[in-house]
Amino acid sequence: MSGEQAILRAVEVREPERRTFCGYCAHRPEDEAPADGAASRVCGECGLGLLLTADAALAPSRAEAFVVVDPGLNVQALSKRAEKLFDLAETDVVDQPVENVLVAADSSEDARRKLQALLSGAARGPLEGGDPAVAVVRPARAFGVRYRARVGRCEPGRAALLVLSKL
Amino acid sequence: MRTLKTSEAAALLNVTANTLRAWERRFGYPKPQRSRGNHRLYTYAEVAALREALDEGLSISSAVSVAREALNTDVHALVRALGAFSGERADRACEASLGLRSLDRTVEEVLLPGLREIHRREGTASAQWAFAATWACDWLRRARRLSPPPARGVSILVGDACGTDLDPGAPQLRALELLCTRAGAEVLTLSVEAPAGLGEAVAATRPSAVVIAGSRIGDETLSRWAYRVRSATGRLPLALYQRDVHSVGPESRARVLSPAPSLAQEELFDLIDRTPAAPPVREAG
Repeated sequence: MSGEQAILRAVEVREPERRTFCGYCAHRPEDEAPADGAASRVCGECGLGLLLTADAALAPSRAEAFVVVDPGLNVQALSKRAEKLFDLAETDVVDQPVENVLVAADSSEDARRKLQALLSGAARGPLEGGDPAVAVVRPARAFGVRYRARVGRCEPGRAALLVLSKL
Repeated sequence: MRTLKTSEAAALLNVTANTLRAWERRFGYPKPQRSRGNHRLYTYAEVAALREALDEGLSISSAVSVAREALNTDVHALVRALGAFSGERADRACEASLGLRSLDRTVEEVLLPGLREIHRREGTASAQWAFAATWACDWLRRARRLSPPPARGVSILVGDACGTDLDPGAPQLRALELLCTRAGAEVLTLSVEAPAGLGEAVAATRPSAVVIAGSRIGDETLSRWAYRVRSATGRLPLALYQRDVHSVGPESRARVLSPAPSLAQEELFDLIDRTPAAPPVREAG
């Protein structure tokens, strides 16, 4: 009996912790798992965002600005904080290239390509536990301002999430 | 066009009415029409498309974008086909829409918006409009011929004041005829420029209501036609459709129907239902 328990302990796998949050106001509903059905994904707090899921280490707090990007590197969501930060409305940038909103802080072509590869890889890659990747970015229309961006996959579908915090 | 009240649209999307109004302010979608009582009326197709888009969306903005695109696909296909003078492609665009929508919704959400777009781009004096309007009237007449026989015991006499199929009101009138026929009414449409023999037409069909549609034919001609009808039928519910309300002349007591054919059909049937009894048919003078 004790031998069987030892085997069970050896194969135990810990699921990475996930967080559900509003893609606009970052509110985290008490029920962490989004219910089935499209309409129930609407944030009950602000009514202006859909509930998204990401690893706990990546998911934004209410104080953090964030951007959601599709595998084609087009903006799919801009948080309320990000709207203020970039002085842009989400409705004006959805389906636009993310480079219209933010770019790599280093202006070299190499840095640009690396950021694109990071975002594209995060959007297409598996949802994995562990620490998110990190990049340094700046608003596309501003110089001298830099942000640390946690980058990883978010759901539903295939999308990359960039969560910004001051350096 | 199927419409939903605010509470119905909110229930379909599983959000509150306040959220729906907030979406209207922020995203301009879904964009409701207004009822006669100034209440919001949402187009079912808009709400249904949004519900579907929200399923996999990453934001309300992106879902709205997807929903708008989905709604416009068939309209764009129809406009392109009509702009290329291809009736076959225009037929195919409507058939594609019929795979997603009912006939009534295809008429109101694809065919008529497509025609409006051609009219806006090219104007009524263009070959494109001439082709599009003729194709649309033919398509609507064909759909009407394929409708089930009248079963409602309601007969409607329509005075066609559009003149020709090229009048912008003509496709709207053909759509109203189609929807009334599909709702079980018998519809007889006669040109207001041909008043002779109207008594026989009235005796044969015993109309429950009279509709005067179109603005192209002037008041004088219309008055003669209306007088003949009144002489033959006595007082009947009278409605105006797609006619300038400032030039109503002898039909000034008439009910003005909404521009959307489905709303107009509902209002017309309501008008008939409110009329107590059919008057006796008289011999024409």
